Amino acid sequence: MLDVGLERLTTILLRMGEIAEEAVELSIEGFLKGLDVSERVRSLSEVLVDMSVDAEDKAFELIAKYQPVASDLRIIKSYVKIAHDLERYGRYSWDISFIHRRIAQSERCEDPWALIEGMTEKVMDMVHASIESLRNHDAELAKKLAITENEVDEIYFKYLDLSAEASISTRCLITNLLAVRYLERIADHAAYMGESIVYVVTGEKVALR
Amino acid sequence: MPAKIETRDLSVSFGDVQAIKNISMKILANRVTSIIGPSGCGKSTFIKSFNRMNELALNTRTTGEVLLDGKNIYGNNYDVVTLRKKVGMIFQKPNPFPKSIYDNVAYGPRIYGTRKKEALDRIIEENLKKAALWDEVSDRLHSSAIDLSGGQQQRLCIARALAVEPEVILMDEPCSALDPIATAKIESLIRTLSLEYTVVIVTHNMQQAARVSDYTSFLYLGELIEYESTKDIFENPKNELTEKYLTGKFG
Amino acid sequence: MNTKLLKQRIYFQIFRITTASVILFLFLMIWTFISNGIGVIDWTFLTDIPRRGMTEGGIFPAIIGTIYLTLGAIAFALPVGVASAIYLVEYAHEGRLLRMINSAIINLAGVPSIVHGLFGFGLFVIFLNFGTSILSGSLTLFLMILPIVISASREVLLSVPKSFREGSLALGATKWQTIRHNVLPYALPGVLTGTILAVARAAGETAPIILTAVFFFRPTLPKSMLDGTMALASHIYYMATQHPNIALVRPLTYGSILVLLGIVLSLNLVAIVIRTRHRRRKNW
Repeated sequence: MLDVGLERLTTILLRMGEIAEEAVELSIEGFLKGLDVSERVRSLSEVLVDMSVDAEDKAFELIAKYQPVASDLRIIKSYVKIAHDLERYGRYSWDISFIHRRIAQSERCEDPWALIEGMTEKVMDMVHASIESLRNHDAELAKKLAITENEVDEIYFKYLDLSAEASISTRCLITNLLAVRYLERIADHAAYMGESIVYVVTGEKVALR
Repeated sequence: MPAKIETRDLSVSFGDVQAIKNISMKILANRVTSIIGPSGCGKSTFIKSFNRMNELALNTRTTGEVLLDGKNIYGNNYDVVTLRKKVGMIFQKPNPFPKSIYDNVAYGPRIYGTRKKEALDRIIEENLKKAALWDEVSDRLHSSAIDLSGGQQQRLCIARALAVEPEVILMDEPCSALDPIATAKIESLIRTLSLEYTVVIVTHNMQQAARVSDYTSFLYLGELIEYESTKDIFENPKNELTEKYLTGKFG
Repeated sequence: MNTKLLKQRIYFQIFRITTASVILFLFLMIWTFISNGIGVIDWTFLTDIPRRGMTEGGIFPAIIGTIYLTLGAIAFALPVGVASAIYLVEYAHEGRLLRMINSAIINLAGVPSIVHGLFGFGLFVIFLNFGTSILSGSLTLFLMILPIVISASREVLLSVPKSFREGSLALGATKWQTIRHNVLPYALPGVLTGTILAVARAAGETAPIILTAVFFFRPTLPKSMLDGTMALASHIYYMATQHPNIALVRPLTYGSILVLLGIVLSLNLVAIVIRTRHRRRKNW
């Protein structure tokens, strides 16, 4: 009975993963190519919000009914957190598209220091890896997220420093700055997801950030 | 922390059947230790070796040592009767004697020579209060114990056991014959008791062990598989068998 | 009507008739004794000694003799029987020896009373030289009713739930304390019932007491255990078969039968009442 419930919960999360991947990809594509994808990304984000509420409800229903222990308990506890992380993927994707439209009018912005595209690749990788490790309960893959997270942080701080020294503030500068900030947050949540996966599989509480 | 009870290589067999296989374990004083495991894995036999009640069955053989405060209770000079005064037992099915509530609790003290009414009155009130039963029966102490509800009967048995001033209280699935409300009352009583006594409880209900105990041991087919703090064993068991049992894959 | 139903009805009728005939015999017996003997029963009959060659007077010495003999038998049988039962149930180890002992007790109960009488004669009257006396009679009856007392006590002790003993031992009581305070008190009513039934049996036995304790004519009451005595059962036997003028004394014989029956039946009744009241009050 508990197993059936856990399976349903897992299905919700994996579906959320697919949608979150799509949202992040789409928002990054729109940003780099200068397209307005904000409507589409917004609807994906809203779906993710609903699904995370659904996942949380389901998790608490399982706890109330079955008082799970050991690995079952760790899974449920972690899935609630992961649902939140996936919802955040959607939210920050929406933030990127929204800011892109509102401040840069969805135009293609120049990247004076050629850092952003590299950063988006790394963030995309982290999103894929986090969802893959969720699908397979792969703690080793999850632990590797720590490395990429570091790299993303470095790019982020570098971009901040460079922007602070720029003499002129343009729409694109501000848009880029905010986008980089949201990308860094997405990376953070990927790392959080990794921590939860490691906890599910090994019971260890690690810090990947 | 000193161990209140320590078993060293304890093995118990009945005739050809070996019920307990080489268990070495330390039970800490003033803590609640629970023993869980599937049916027939030897849990009852294990705790009955702490007060030598196994000897009431036929063809029992016990090897190894059980130390109470450092002394082997199976040693040649150890008095079984004194042992059972120090180590009390609550059984699965409440077994009040068909006497009055008063006489039930007074049974032990009277056996030990206390006869004066004032002394007995005091003992009865004190222990019925400790067992959280005083308020419900103080007005009918001389009515028959058999007329009480199951939960009250079990608390009476607890009061009766407390009246002989034990140091350890053994409980063999004390709630399995009771309804959920009676069970809840006894569970909260167990936590209170552990302040003054050492409690060891056998239970087939995992959630009860999780609620009530500080340490949990998992027995399977007479062997000790894992023994941890309750929090650790229920969040992250180290042994695969334990994990399987806790998540309901068998037993 | 279908055959199955018909068969059933026939069987039930057979059962009914069998039961009725048993009850009928019982009533017939009682009616015979009452109608023939009731006229003889009066205060003199019960309190006077026999006179004129036992053709007149009363049966007082016989009544007293029966009472002494059965009291004596119980005085030995109760402690020995209950103690044996306690040993057999609480202390003896399971095994071949125990089974043999239990077997022996049951067999002792099946020994014919004449054999008990002969044994008592040989052992108590002759060998131990007690002579024809209440002592010899009581000891012989004691051996006869001992199995009854032991069996009844055993059954009652076994019916006390194990959980009482376990509970008491777990509190730190010794085995004997447990038996004394938490087993025997609940067994007592049952032991009492068994005892009364044994007494009723002892009161009616004839062969053993004829061989060991009675004189057919003894107008004086016995002065000690070593004295012989009259007794109801033997008196009835004598009056019905050995008396020089059986026909003349027949009413007296019936009267004696009624008195003995009265004693035995009232004892049985008391046992039944105790047992019923105990069962109703029994709350385990």
